[in-house]
Amino acid sequence: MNGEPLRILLVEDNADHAELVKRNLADSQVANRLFHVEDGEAALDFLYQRGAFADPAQFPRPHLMLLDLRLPRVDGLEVLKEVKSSPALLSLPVVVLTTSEAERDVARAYAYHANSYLTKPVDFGQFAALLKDLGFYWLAWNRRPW
Amino acid sequence: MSTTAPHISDGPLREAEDLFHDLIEALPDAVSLVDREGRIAYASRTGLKLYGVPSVALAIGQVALDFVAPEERERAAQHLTEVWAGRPARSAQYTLLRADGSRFIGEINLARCNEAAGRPSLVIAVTRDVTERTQREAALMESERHFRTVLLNAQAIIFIIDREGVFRLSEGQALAALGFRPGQVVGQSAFELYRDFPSVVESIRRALAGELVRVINDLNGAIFDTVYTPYRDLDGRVTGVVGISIDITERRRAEIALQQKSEEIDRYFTSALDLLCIADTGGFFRRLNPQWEATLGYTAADLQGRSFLDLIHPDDLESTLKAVSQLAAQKDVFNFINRYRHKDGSYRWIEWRSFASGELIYATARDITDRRRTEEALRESEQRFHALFDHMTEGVALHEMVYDASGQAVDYRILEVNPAYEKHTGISARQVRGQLASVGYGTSQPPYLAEWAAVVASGQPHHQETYFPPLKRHFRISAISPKPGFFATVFEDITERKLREEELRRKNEELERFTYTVSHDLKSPLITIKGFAGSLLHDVAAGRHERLAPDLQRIADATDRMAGLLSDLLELSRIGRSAHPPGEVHFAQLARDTLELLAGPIHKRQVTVTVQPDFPVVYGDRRRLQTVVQNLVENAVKFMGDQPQPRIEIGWRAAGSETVFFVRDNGMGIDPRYHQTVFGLFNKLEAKTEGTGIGLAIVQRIIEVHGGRIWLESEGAGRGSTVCFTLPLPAKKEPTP
Repeated sequence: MNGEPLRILLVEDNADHAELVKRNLADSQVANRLFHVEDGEAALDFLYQRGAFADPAQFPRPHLMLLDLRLPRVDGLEVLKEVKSSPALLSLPVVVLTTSEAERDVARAYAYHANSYLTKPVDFGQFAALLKDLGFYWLAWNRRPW
Repeated sequence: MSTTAPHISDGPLREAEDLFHDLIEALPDAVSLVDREGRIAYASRTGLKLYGVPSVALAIGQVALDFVAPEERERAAQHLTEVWAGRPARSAQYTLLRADGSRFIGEINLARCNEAAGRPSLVIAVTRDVTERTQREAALMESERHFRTVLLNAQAIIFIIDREGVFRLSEGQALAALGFRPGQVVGQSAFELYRDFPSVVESIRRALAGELVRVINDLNGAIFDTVYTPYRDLDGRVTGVVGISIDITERRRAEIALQQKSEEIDRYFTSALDLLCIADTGGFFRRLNPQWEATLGYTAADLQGRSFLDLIHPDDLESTLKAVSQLAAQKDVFNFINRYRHKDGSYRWIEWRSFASGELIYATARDITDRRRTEEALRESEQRFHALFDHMTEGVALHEMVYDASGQAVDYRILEVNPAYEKHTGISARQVRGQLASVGYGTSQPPYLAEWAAVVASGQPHHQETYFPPLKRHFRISAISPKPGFFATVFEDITERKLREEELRRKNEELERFTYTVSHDLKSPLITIKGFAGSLLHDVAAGRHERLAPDLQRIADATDRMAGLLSDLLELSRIGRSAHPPGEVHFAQLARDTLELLAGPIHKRQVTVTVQPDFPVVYGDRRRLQTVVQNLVENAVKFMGDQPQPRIEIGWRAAGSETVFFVRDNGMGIDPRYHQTVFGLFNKLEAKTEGTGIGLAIVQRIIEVHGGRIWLESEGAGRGSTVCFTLPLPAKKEPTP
């Protein structure tokens, strides 16, 4: 087990969905710290610690990014592409968390080296279970690079 | 001759003497006696008459030699001397003189009389007039000489073979043909000589048996016509064969050649595949070859003697009579064509070559019915294809490939193009026909040279769809090579299809995006609703009530969003199916009406809106166009940001042939990176802003349905933005400047 709480960057334009993620992660027994941005541009700014997110103390490097695909301004896939083509960021595990079940999206996400692809379940119970498992996996089982 | 003959006495002797005397006198020959002195001692009456001496008295005592021609007297004297010398009697022929000096030829036999006592020695001379015989003999000899000359010089062989088969005579120039000289084979056996020619031996045997034989023998290539005639003695027995052989080799050869020639002609006439005939200018068939039966159904015999005019198609009668009269004028007629009635009533086309020779016409003819039918069919087919060529919707061009010295295809010549070609390319046939492609199309490299060269080289057709830059059109082109060095291109302008395909592709993409985004964006509120409903249930169960109201609000908002989405989607889907007929729309009025509708939000945000005067009238669906203006103004108001003096301008400008309309604001502006994506369905630049993200998609769709374009002009965030679009103007009206 890792001592440090799991820092998660949630990139989600839908405030309701973000709230649901937040609540379910909080309910899980996983020590975590959630950062939420609403579009791709902000996500990249966060990751590069620039603009509004320039302060590393306030906005430390996340251990995991939960990335929605349909985002205003910079699309989720664009963000993914940028992360995976940046030597500084490519080791960041990126879990795509989206409403889309389209195969094309799944294929493209993996083509851009997404580490995992999750579809938001419509059922609340499943949604809760998914996030619980997710947190547990990445905090308890997964060995992270930093 | 002397009446005083001394020894004749009376009595029996006298009687004997008288008898003898009478005998002498009766002889046809002249009898005289010559004494030792050579004088005539006696002459018979026949003798007197022969020598023309009137009386015995005048004869007695004359010198006998005086009656011999002077040039022969010496020979005669010699003759006398012999006789006196006691040599045996002999006769000799002399030219003799009559008393009147005339000459005749006589044969004189001199003999010495028996010596008796008391009797003078005398010579008896018996003279026979042989003038006539001599003349006959001379004539005979002359004749024989002539005959012999003829024989020797004749182109024949005259021969005599005796009973034993031995040649007794062999003469004539023709012997040379057998390799013999005249007389060479005389003494040789004919049977031996000709043992290898049984017909010769046989003929000789038959002639010797008494038969007149005539045969033609081929003696090693020399051909002789020979008559063998049996030669008989006075008793009628065959003693030999007289033959004459005439060398007929040359004649025979000529005959054979002539026969062959005429056989050849006859064979040609009967076996020629062409129709041959001899007719006359009177209009009658004289002779026809058997081929006519195949053409006209009548045998040559049926037609011979018939009038050929009877068989001619009525429409061709006049031209035929004209041809016949031309032939009668001894002018040959070539390539004349008319129709003959077949036995079955049908007509056959006959082509003639006729030669005039007096009243005869020598003609060769050919049945060209099938050829004409083929030609006819070909012509029809050609016409059909030409009509097709002229009327087909595909452009067709025929070309000939042009090669350089090394056999490399370097260009091609445009030989023929059809009207569709002109229509599709806008290039007139006159402009390109006969031109090299590089010249006709004005390109440095002949278009598609490599492809067409491959078609010509391989004979394999080639099909392709291609964009042809010189004409800015898409074509589907098929190329075939109908014969070496040539090729045809058949093409259709598929620009429209390509555009439709492109549109379809775009539509499909749009549909896919639509489906995708619809499923995504409709699902999104569902997750919210279910999520918060679940959370609510938990909270209620746990007795926590502080989040109930906001969570319920979230659920209500999500439901509203879904409703809004559904209604916007419905509107979007309706745009293509216009419920309102398009017409002239006064854009300025439309703008003002729209602004009235939006008076509330505009007033609330304190926005100044200006509408440019003198808008052109446009053509379209007024309601939809109003939606455009409404959405654009709403967006402008919505994204005004913190602009202290918000302004919106509705205007237009002429740009080339287009009229560009625009809605400009001085609000937040849009980063150029997002100028394209803002029109996408459900694409929102701000997660928090109201709306479904369908507004601009609807606007774009309406403009596109009207045949216009829409785009965004903005210098970036914070600098305001301008949405521009084009609309069609009414066809008849010029835009108001």
